[in-house]
Amino acid sequence: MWKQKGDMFRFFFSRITRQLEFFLLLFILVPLLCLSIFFIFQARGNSHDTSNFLAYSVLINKSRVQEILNAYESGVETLALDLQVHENFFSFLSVHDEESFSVLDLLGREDISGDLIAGAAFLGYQDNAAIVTTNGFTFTQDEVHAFASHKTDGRETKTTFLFRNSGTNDLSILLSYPFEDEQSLFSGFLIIEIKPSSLLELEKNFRTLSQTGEMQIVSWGKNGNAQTILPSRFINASVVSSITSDSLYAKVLKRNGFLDRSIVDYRGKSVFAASRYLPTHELGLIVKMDRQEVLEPLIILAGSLTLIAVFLLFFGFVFISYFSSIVAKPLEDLAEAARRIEKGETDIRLPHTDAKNEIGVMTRAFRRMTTSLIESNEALEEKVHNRTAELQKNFSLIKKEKAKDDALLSSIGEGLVVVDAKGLIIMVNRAAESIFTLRSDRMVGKQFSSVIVLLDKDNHVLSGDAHPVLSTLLTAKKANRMEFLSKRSNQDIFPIALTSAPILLSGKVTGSVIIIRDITREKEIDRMKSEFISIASHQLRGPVASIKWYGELLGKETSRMKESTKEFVNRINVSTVQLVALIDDFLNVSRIESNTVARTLEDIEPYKLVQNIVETYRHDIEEKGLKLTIKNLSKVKSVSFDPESIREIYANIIANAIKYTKDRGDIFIRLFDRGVTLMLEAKDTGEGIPRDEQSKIFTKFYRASNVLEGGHKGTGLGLYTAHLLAKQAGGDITFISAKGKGSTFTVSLPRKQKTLSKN
Amino acid sequence: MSKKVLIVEDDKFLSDIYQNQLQKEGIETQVAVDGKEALVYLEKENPRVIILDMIMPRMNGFDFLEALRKNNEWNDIPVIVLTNLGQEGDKARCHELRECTYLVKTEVEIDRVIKLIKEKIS
Repeated sequence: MWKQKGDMFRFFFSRITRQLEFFLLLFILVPLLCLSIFFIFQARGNSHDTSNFLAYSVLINKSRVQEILNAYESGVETLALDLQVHENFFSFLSVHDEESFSVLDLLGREDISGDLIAGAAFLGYQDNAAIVTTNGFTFTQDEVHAFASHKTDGRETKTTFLFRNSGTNDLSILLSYPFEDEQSLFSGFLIIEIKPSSLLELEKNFRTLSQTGEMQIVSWGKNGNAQTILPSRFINASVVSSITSDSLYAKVLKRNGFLDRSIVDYRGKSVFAASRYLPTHELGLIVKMDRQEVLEPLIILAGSLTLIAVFLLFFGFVFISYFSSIVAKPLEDLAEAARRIEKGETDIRLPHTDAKNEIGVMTRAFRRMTTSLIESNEALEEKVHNRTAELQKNFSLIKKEKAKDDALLSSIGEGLVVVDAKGLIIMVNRAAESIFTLRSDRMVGKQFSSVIVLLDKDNHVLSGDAHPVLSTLLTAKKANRMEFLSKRSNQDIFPIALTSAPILLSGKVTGSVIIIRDITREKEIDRMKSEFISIASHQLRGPVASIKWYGELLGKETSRMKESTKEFVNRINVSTVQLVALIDDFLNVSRIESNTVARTLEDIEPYKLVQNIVETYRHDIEEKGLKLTIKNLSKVKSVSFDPESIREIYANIIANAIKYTKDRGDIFIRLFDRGVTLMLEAKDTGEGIPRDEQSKIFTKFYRASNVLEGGHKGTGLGLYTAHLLAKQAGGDITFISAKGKGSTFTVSLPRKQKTLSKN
Repeated sequence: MSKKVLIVEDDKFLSDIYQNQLQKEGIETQVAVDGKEALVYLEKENPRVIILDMIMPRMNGFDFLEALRKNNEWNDIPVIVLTNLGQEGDKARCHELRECTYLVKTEVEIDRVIKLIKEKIS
């Protein structure tokens, strides 16, 4: 039990700062505080009331005492004066016969103001000594002395008060009044003894007001001590106290009245006291009440309040501890459990669930929830596990497929770059990496144009429409084998052939596949070919010149030859001419390629030019019986062109038409304008170009299989040269053809030749 | 002044043709196989016409024309360039160096060459 209490104690204090317990504690402390405040106010009120009461009482009683004493004085005065005029009084005085009558009898009165006259006497003087004539009335020596001393003073006072106390309630007041004889000479005092029951009554009445209340009249006694006159409530004698500056009675006899809440009286007890001074009689009046009596009810109140407080605290403590253990602690435990569940622990300890109260209900519900949570968690985990295993399987399958694809792409010899619709590189293959000497991680995710630099033949960076990839992404048009210059990572410039094809998804361009081929070798080979031809041709010219001229010379001597020999010589010369022409062609081509042809712009009449060209082939046309027509539609105006270039272009096309058309075939030549472009169309009904060879027809030395077989002579340079020249001039040559049916070649040239820089 | 024609040509076959054909016309000839030999001859006497091939060893036609320019004495001698160089650039270069008649061997008949030489002489 104690241990349990100890636990609860510790528990209590450790949770004192928690909200619930704190408020409970407050709930107990606040009433206690209120009670304390109540108590304090009570105490003050009480004390206040008592003081007021005493102050009031002392005033009332002072005036009453004053009244009574005044009444005594005037009573005695009256008696004295009456006696003075009494006929028998003086004879009594002279006789001094005590047996004849008493002074009492003489008085004719038995009381003064209701208080009994206990005795009377006459104090006379003979030879300045006091002689008391009384009957049955004795005075002490002190009293006699006290009376007599007044005479001695020389002043005659009217009354003297003396108090006589012989026993507790046996208080008398002696009053004196001076007496004059017939000769109006002072003869003595009349002394009356009064039993001051009024005073005693007064005191008694005051006592009834309380348990310890006491009224006391204080005067100076003999020996310089203070003396009380009225009997004390508590002891059987009048109190005599010595004069000490702080004693109660000394204080009373000081002329200022006082009110004191705590002063020690003759018993040594602490009292409430109020006092007043009666100056005429040199008396002090004091009313007092024991502090104990005043405070007693408060002490009881304090006691009960303390009891209540202790009671409250104890039960409060018990209740709070109980509450903590029943409510607060289980809630704490639940909160802790929730925290642990959140962290993912499954071993949760929950508080007891057998309680019937709401906490128990909640705990049970919580327990159920926890269990179901844990279960569903486990189920989830299992599902996740299964799914993950599935995914793993799929993933490894995908990886295998991807590895296959990757291997495929890697093995492609040409560079492959895939970009998205914005031009960002999605993928590059190994060949592309090696072409540009960049690693794929440097290329993927970046803009195509920033990674792979494309330059035109003048080393200007391509952009906008000129850029094949951008153009493809915008227009969804394929850029086929276009040649550009590019830069490797070490800034070396090299030639590439680029094909850019759009990736379409539901008709929208979502990217582009770009194939890039490093054609450095091809270009090199091309260059070497051209160079070789150039050199060879130049070299060939030397001996050919000889052959030609010697042949010519021979030709001049043919009259001396046999017919057959003449023919030989003739054939030599014809062959030589052909040879010269061939060499010229080769040299021409290499010149055009190297762009060293001098160009001059002249005004050319296209129609005239065509007529002129056709004229040069008149012989061949007539021989083959061809029907050639020239149509100058829209009356084409003159163009500004290099005469040699335009002649060469047109001549090649026309020559081809003538060459490859069978005997008695048709050739139609049309000239017309299309905007700023001059168009020449040459349609023949000749051999045509096989479909699968059409893409190569403009390449150098290329001769289609059908004409090779057909035995047509040609170098394969004609179309190449014409095409190259046309392109250089800013135009183009296109054709439509079918094998055996004929071809239609279309030359389009700008009206003003595009001037190119000479290398 | 002699009626000699100076032939500057390294190919013997060709220089023979010039010589033979000119001699048939009664024109005297002198053959030099390169520019240097030609200059040596020119020191001795001035020909009427110079036939000049361009591609020769030791000193080619261009350098010869350069040297020719330097001597004012030789300014008046007409030069017929007979070469295999067909490029416009070569032709222009020649003309820069000296006023001349520029012919490509394979483009011209021998008869025409001889005719031209005869014209230049007279």
